[in-house]
Amino acid sequence: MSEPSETILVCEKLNKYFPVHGDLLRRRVGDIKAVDGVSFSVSKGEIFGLVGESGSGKSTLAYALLGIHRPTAGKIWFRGEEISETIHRIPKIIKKEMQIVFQDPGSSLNPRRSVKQTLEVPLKVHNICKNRDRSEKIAALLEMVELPADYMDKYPSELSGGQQQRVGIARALAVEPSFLILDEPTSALDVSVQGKIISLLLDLHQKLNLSYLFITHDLSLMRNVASRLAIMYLGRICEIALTSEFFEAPLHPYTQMLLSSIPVISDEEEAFKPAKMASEGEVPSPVNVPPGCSFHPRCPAKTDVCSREDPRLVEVSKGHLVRCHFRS
Amino acid sequence: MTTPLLEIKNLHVWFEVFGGVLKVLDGVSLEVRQGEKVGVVGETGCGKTVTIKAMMGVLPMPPGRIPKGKILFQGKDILKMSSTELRDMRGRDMSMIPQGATESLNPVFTIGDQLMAVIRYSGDSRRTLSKQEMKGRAMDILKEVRIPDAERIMRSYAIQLSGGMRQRVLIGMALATEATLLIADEPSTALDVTTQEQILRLMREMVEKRSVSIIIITHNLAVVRQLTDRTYIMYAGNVVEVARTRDLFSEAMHPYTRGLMNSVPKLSGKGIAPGIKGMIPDYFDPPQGCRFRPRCDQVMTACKEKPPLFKVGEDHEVACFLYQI
Repeated sequence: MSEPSETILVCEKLNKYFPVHGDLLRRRVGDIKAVDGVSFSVSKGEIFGLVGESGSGKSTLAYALLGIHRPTAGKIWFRGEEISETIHRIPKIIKKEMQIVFQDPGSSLNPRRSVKQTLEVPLKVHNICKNRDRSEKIAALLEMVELPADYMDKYPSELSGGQQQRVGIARALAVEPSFLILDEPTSALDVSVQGKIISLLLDLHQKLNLSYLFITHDLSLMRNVASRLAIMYLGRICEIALTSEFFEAPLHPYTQMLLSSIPVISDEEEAFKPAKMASEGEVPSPVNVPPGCSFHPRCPAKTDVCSREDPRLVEVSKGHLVRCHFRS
Repeated sequence: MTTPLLEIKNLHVWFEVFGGVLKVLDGVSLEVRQGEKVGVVGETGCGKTVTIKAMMGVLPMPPGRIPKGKILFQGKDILKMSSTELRDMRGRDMSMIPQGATESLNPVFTIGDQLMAVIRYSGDSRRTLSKQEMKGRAMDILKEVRIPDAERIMRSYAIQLSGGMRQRVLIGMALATEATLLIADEPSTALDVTTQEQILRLMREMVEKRSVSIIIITHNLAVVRQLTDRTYIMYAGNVVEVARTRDLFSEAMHPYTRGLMNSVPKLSGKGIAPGIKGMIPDYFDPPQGCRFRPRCDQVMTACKEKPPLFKVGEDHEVACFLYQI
């Protein structure tokens, strides 16, 4: 926030609660705190990784950033402009700058639209080019994602998973955005295909000078891709650090548990994990988040204070923030 | 050596569909020995699910057809069994841990009812158990798979349990049958990493304690490394490599296996490998000879023939002409 020229996206104390209606009268009996007081910022040209298990609120956060969900409280700034609004109220010019690549290309592409028809929509909506140049533009987009131009007339069912995701990326890039949200772009793909999609995304990041918010549950992937990482647990961020620091010196007990649970494929890799820490319990339901520190029922280092007080996210060294009573 | 518990020999499976014949399995041979943990690894569409379906005798025929091959379970040919024999075998001798824990449990019966149903219809002794006995058995099983508060869980419905708990219940159900062969189809893909680790640990313990055999079908190499003794790598309806899991991860030989291992993102942060070029072949018209040929970097003229499995070490076989002696 101090260097507005550098940061592209700022999120401050963002909350997104979904009401829970109980009984016959549909009275509000509680909230699902999907995103609870999340603050972070993404710098220009950065690949910011957001990691969490299912139910940690990473996708809700992405949708709140895009305006698909209206935040319950908190602020979002994008290039200095506040956008904590629903999608209808965000100026088109800002929407154009921020795009998303969805998780499962099989269900995020319309099966009844050819590749050309899919890619035409953003071009029309945002008036990117003249009608007669459109085919040329689509061919250029396909070339950008390394697909031959004659794929224009194919339908999603004729494409493999990797090719479908390339179309998904082309659709996001059609409006020439500066910021991309990648919501688990490779988790539906086989590993041998994943590599190609990731290297394409990294190439485009360089070539087009993009900034990424990369959402995933795969820490090994993030190790190779992101420059900075945030770990989410039950709607809250529990640790933010530079990737190298994160893997060398993880501080939060949850992060340590997560890192030591990653299944790896060689002994050499095993050495990169922190000391073995047996994982205990499961992520509780976000409807009844444990009081105090939400991780305390699973934490091996818990004390009395953990169940009473919620720790704050504190900066322990430059750029390394942790939410734990004992690390700050 | 004693005869293996399960032996699949040169299995071919075709599907006759509108538009032609899909030649899916192209001579798969696989064996599971007594008390062994075997992994079958392959990517989407490589035929791993077809293989286990054939093995359990649940392949829909037609459109499926088995033109060649044998499946021997405890010395008996499954392909020649009647449907009654098959039904008796499934559940009693072979039991499955299904993939999606959410869809695999019945939402309108309690966990206790479902567990007791399994106990009633299987088990080696066919004598009728009293309700009390069945309940006791069910509780024991839940305790064994480390479900806290078994009494309450017995009365719960599937939606009241977390993903990890449901998976534990399913493992318990598979164990309740006293089967000698367990089949786990992607047992941990739907779970989070921290939960996955616990489930894999539990499966390993259970299998070792009861000395049953298990086949784990997965696309995740790391899961196999944690759990199995021997691993088969499948590609496009063929077994391309088989080895002791330890040997496979220290020296993978087939170009496909190596490509697959390189594609896995590494924790050491050495960057992302570009993966394997091309994609899985069309089963209507698969490439002649080695089915991996169009994607292989080390292709030779010999590859126009179908490579047999060459023995390269003890329990280590590779279907590639690079290793022809």
